[in-house]
Amino acid sequence: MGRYLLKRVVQIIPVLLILTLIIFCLVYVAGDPVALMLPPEAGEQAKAALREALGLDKPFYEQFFIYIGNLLRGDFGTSYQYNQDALSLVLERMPYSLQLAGVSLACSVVVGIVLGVAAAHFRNSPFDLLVNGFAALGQALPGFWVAIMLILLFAVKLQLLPVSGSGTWQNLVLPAATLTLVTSAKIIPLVRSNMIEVMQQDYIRTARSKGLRGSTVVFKHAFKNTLVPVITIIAMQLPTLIGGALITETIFAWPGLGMLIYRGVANLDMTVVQAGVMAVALITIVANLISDIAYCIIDPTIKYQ
Amino acid sequence: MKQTLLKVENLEVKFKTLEGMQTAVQGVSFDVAQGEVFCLVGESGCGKSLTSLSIMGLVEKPGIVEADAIVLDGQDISHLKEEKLRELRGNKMSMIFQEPLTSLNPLFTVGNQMDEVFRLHQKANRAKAKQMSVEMLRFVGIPDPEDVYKRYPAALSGGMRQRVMIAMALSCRPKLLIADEPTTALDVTIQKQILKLMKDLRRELGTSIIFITHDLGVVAEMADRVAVMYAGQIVEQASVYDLFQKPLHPYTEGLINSTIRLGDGRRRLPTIAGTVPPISKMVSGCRFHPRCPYATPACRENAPPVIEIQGRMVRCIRYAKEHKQEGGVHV
Ligand SMILES: Nc1ncnc2c1ncn2[C@@H]1O[C@H](COP(=O)(O)OP(=O)(O)O)[C@@H](O)[C@H]1O
Ligand code: SF4
Ligand SMILES: [Mg+2]
Repeated sequence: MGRYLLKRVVQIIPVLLILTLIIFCLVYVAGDPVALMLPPEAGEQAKAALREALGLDKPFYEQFFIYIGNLLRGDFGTSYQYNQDALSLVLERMPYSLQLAGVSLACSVVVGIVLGVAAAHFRNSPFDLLVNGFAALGQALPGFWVAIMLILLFAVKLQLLPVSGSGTWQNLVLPAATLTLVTSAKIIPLVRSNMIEVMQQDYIRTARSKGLRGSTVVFKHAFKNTLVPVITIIAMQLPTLIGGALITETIFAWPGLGMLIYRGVANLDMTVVQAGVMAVALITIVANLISDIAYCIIDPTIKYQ
Repeated sequence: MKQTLLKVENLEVKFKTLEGMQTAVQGVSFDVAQGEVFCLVGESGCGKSLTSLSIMGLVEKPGIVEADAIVLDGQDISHLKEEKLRELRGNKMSMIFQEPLTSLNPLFTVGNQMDEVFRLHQKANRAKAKQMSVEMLRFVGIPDPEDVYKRYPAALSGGMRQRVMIAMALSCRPKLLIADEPTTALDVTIQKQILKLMKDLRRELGTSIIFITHDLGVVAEMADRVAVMYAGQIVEQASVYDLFQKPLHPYTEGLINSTIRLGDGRRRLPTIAGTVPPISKMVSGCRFHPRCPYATPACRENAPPVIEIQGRMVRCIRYAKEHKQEGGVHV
């Protein structure tokens, strides 16, 4: 297992390189930021000077190597919008993202597993139908619509929670609820179908034939066998929750990475976009690594090539 | 006459489906004596597994089990609450299955799965459970029980896993062991070993065994008494000697004829033509009539009576009194 994990860690290096290249290319083709950075009345000469200062006049590959060199020194460039180091901006926003993502993910996992297991247990009952309906709705409804409806209900009509912003736990409730709704809707059907499949396996019949209680059969023998696919989908949700919660963060004015990236794109502040996307990508990679470690722990028989 | 350990009376297993109620097992009654090996034999799909699962109380929804009585060791368990049944399972009665490769949980060690039984039924602590599990593994002839105890099932061969299953099933010295085609998935040499193990264990522990198989060769080797099942019913019951000596039911006759080979390896008769009717399209009258060489028009109309002759039982019109008076078969 140790060697397998070491291999996985080493594999991250080429992934990071390719990732850097992709991010760099995207920004390269996205357009010339110089026009936005200078006042409209600036002349061609001033623009050319700025381009030269930023190294934008150099050929593509040269720019790329300079970029990588800078990254290695921890220099992600300066955001012209905020007039601040892009890395420190990302690091500032990261705790907000992690907080929102962490709470939403924890809630989604609990809701997803509880409802998924229960729906599998009472399959084809009215309860199962209800849970399935909830999951289908959660997947079909766009996140922004859910967010707006929650705001209308809890903030505007009932006035229980703040509309937007950050700072208190009340601010966290609505964005976390939005993300939980959307994310748990993806986890529920997966847990349910895996649970149903596992419950039909021979070893479950064996467990029952030993006289074990129903709860031991479900939570020990069946549940562990559903964990590998469930962890896979959970790991897939994490990056979506951190960087992809863009719309939710924007609606609720939650100052996380998603909003930072959104503003960066809107204003062609490419250093910020690059740093933000890089951070989300890193989190994705770490999440995958953690889920790989989890697989090893859950299923010691998995054969790693 | 040995004491009766298990008495099944008029067992019925039904499934509620979209096309209505379908009966998979019907009117099944039999006794198993103390220390006896009772074989259930029949083609695949004739209800052997459902019969045995009904005794264990393990038929899953949407299956519905009904019986006049299922008496195990003097106690009628046909209407027991799940909680009470659970105390019997793995304890007084236990079961092993056809697929040793999938019958153990892949994510827990052999030891963990063995210990469960001792911890549950004998309230053993961890250390004691381990000691008893290792002992049990040794008992079923596993060479290095301490090592196997620590292994995950994937590290063991099919034959080894079936030994583990047997060890697990016998942990609490059950009065009744149900073995549902325990050797079908194994190759011939391993099959012989497992059969020998089960015979040895029966002799040593005096456990009654319901042995399910579709292989008459295995029946001849294992059984004291045999029930032949066809399309959800028992069509004939007899001692193993009587059954092979003089099969009464045409289906039994067909089975035996299609099993026994002549010296030159050719079959004396082809296998019985046709197939078992599916439970969704059960035939009228005698369920065997479409395949029966002796079928009469009456067989298509009326379900044949259950007839007892000379301590045997057969479900065929040819042995009915009035039929015999008309010049039918004589026993
Ligand atoms: N869950 C179920 N739903 C509907 N029919 C079933 C179900 N389980 C078993 N059956 C039917 O019951 C019959 C007997 O099955 P089974 O006891 O497994 O046969 P055997 O063990 O003799 O091969 C089969 O025809 C099968 O199709
Ligand atoms: S009742 Fe008729 S069809 Fe059925 S086994 Fe006897 S002879 Fe054959
Ligand atoms: Mg079967």
